[in-house]
Amino acid sequence: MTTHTAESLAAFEQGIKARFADGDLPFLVHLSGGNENELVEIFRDIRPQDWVFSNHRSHYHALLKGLPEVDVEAAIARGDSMFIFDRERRFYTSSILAGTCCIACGVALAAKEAGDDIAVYCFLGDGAEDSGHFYEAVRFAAARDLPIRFIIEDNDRQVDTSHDERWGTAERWNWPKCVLRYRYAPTFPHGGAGLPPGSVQFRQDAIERFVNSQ
Amino acid sequence: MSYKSELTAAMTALGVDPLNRFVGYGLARGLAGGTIPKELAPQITETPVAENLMTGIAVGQSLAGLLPVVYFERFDFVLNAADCIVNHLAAARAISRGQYAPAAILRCVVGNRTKPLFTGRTHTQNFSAAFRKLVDFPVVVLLDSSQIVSAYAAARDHQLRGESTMLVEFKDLL
Repeated sequence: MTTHTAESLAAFEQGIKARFADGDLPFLVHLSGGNENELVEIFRDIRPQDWVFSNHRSHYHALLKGLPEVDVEAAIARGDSMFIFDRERRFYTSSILAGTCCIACGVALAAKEAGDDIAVYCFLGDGAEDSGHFYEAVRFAAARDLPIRFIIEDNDRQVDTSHDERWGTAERWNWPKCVLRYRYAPTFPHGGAGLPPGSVQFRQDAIERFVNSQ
Repeated sequence: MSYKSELTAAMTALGVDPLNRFVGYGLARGLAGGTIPKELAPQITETPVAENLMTGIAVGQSLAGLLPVVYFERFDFVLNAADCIVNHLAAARAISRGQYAPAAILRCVVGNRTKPLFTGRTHTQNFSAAFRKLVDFPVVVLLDSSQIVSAYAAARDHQLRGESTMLVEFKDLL
């Protein structure tokens, strides 16, 4: 359903980086990068009637679900990088760690009970994989054979901490079939645009634009 | 009418809508302390003992157009679901700028304090005041049986408008 390519995704995010560097985005942003090819492939199977649950790093997911670039950029420009939603396109986000996993189960359960031809895709990082919320959701989804896929976007980083550092091993947990994992090396840090500390001077007009919109 | 019979009447009224769902653990066997009529068993979504999962499922069901009623057999246990209640159920409308407004009815039961079976501190706490500070939807304390049916009817009206309600019940009054 998407017309985006790996190149167009990367170009979009570079544009956001440029606005951030220009001081035009005085917000916390979580930029995507390094996983363009994997996501383009995954989204080939995602249809308009399917639900996508995204997370704090949502820009690529939103674009690939069909949200117009202009809408995604407008949301980012008003401080909603972590809060991009689209009811019509069944796109939902949460920046609470693993917060969407159980909610996605509820949507999938309702679809299965109704006999609807709907699938649910829930994206999370390997940090969220550590959460008990994810564990509860996966057990429920697997046992009930719900039409849901959890996709762990494993960049070996929980904010800045590697799997080995936080668990004492680099070995990954083996989840049921409803969980897919791909690993990638991220282009950007957890937050911000990877620019040298102190190099961005946020513009006063951008700050006032945000404060006045609240 | 007794406290329990009023709760049963309230659940019966909620169950008239085929989109209604009763969500929680032990419901298929225990019917929420006998307050869900057996005839409404097909509306039960049985879950594991995992309060955040129960609540998340309800939020998802609401997103899909259903009308979930979540049953917490002890208010103490609701704290396990506080993340979903505060950061999702209560926040979704605001953070999505009105695009999504999931709504659930939350039944929270305070355990016995004045008559057997006594179950101790961690099964008898009433967090109504705390949740009033955490969420922006109504927290209704059901101290009188005469208010139960109308309170649940109002909660369903709110739910149909995309607003949740937490209702606090007391085992001492059953």
